[in-house]
Amino acid sequence: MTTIASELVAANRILGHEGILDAYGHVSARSSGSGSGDGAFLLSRARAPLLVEEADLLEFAPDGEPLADSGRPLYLERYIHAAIYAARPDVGAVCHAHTASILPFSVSLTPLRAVIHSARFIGTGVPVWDLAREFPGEQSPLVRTLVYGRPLAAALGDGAIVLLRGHGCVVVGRHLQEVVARCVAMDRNARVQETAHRLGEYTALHAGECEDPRDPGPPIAKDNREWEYFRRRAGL
Amino acid sequence: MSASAVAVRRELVAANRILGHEGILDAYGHVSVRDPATPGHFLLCRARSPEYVQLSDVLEFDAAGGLVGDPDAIPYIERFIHAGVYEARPDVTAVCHNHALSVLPFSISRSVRLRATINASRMFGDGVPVWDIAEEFGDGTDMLVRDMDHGRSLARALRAGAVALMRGHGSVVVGDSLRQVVYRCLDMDRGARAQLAVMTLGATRSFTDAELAPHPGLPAGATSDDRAWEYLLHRAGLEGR
Repeated sequence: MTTIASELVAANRILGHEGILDAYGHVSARSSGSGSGDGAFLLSRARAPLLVEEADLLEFAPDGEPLADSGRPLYLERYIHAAIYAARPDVGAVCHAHTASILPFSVSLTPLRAVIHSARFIGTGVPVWDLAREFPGEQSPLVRTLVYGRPLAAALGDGAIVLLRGHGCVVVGRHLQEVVARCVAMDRNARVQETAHRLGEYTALHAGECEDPRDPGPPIAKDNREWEYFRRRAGL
Repeated sequence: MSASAVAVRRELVAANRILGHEGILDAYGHVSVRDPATPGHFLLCRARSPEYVQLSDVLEFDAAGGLVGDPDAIPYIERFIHAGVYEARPDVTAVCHNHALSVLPFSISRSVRLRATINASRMFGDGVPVWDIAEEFGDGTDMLVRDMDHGRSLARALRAGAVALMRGHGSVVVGDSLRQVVYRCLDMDRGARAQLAVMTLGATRSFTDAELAPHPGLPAGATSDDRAWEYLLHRAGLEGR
């Protein structure tokens, strides 16, 4: 198994174990790593992330279609991943989640913003993409084709996270370990912000304390204790 | 290494594993204890998730947060939290820095302070201080306690207390022993959860001023019945240590 494939299996199980993904949602990795222009990516067949195994991984072309027809059901919303890899050469991994803590912020006019230091990547406000307003008359919130995926990628811009109104979120990073860390920090941040909001006034991170999306700092160190921690918790 | 040096290191490993197991520490956060062999020095593990540390991960640091020996070990970046507190507080023997989720909302709230609500959280008194790194070091830091200046500033905010919150970051909890710090961390978590629930329920029965007055704690020897430590060791899978 390649490093990317084994890390993708681990990322699936970790995100399932940590409650970021449940029966639904998915995480992918660019086949050739971040920084390459190649839009091909690895993603599981349609299966709950907690249960994903190496044999479930399939490779997809930049248009979101599988390179080989396995005859197995696929995630309907794989075009989220395809559109973002096409729009963002710096992105090496993508997660689409319906995490309960962030859903209220996808509906509320109160923006999700960074309030704890581990979620510095969230910045001073997260864009919310609303499929129904972009495509009047559309009844399904699902990103079922590249036609829907491209404007979602545009809404993400050069950021690390975008919310889908009443549906979920998309989190991106340079590699899988960064995406997993960001998803867990996002969940904590949303819980803290929601509770602080109920308490009254609160102080969010200042703009200068947030991560600059164009200069996110050094990649995760080889001594990534968070990854080791998540792996062990997930029984890997 | 003397028997007492080994014993304190074992207790430090147990404190790490318990705080990890109980959800006070996760991948991050750390707990330390003064080195009984060298005044001013303290013991802290290498940069590793607390639930998984072992005896061989314990490192020694000097009073300025410098690593003593073992030049290849990777220390926690925020060891200056510990160095700053030990320097300012001779009465403190152990320190924990954590990101416990329950207290984080109180670290950013401008409306509500973390305060005593239940017996376990009497140490909060009429309000836990919040240290905001931006007040002294500007609003462009990465919020980490990266040097002695940061550590001393945090220690000043802690004053003579048991707990200080760090805005948008976490808390520091101190005590006169590792066990007291572990108990205080768990009490802090219970106190924060209780306060949130109490606020949801409406009108309250508050503590009296007498109950909130500083109090010396149980007399020495009263904790010889240490059923809490035995319980926590058992839960963390550490029986017989």
